[in-house]
Amino acid sequence: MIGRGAERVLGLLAAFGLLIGLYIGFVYAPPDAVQGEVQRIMYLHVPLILVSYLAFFVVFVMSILYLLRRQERHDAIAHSSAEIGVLFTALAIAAGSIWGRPTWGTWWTWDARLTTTTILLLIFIGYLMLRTLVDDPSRGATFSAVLGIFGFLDIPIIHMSVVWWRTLHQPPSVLRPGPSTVAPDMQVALYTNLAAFVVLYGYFLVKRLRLEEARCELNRLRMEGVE
Amino acid sequence: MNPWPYILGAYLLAAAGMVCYLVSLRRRTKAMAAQVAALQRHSKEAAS
Repeated sequence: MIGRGAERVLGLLAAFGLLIGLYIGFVYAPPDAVQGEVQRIMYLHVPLILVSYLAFFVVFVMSILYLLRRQERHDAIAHSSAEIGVLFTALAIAAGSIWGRPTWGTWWTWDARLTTTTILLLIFIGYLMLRTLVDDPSRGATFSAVLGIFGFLDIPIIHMSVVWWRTLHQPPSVLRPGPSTVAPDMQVALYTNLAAFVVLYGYFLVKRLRLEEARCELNRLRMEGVE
Repeated sequence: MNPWPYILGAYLLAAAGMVCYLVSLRRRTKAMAAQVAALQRHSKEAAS
C-alpha cells in the first residue's frame, strides 16, 4: 500500500493530466472532417472504455491469483478494481450514447458493440452484488473470483463485435492490427487523455484499497469477538 | 445541429460521476474507520 503523500501526488498528477487532456482535446486537436466538433467526445469516451478494460483485466488477474493462493489482498484489489471498472464502463456508455444522438440520430440502438458492453456492465454489477448476497466473506470472494474471470472474457467479444457483426459502431481505430486510423494530432489528444485516465484509475484504486483495508480490519476485530 | 450541448453534457456527466464516486469513497472510508476505532476503544475498555 502506498503512503498518503504518494497518494496525494497521484491525485494531483491525475488532475493535472486531465486538465492537460482537456486543453489538448478542446484546443490543440482539430475538429473532425466528417463529424465536426462533436467528435471531441471521443477523447472522453475511448479513454473511459479502455481504462475500464484495464480495470477488468486487473480483476481477471487478481481473481486467478486469489483462487490459486487464497490471499485476501488479491481479492481486495479485484473487488476495488471491479467497482472502478463499473463506474468507468457506465460513464463510457453514457458518453457514447450522448455522442450517438448527433452522429447516428439515436441515443441508443441494440447494436452488437453497445449490447456486449452493456452485458459487461451488468456482469460486473452482478459481481459487486454477489458479495453482499453471500454471508461468508471467503465464499463470496471465491464466487466473485469465478465470475470476475468469466466476466473478463466478454471484453474480447466486445472488441471483435464490430468485426464479426454488421454494426452501427465504427470498427476499432486504436487496438487494431496495422497503423491507427486516427489523425496524428487527434492521436496526441487521445493518448494524453488515456494516460490521464490511467493515472486517475490508479488514484481511485489506491483510495478504494484504503476502504478495503479498513473493512478487513473491521472483520478481523469482529472475528476476535470485539463487539 | 449545435454540437456543444452534447459535448458539454458528456464531459459534465463524466466529471459529476467521478466527483460523486470520490465523495462516496471518502464517506465510506471515514464511516468504516470510525467503526474500527469504536471497536478498538471498546476492546481496550473491556481489557482494562
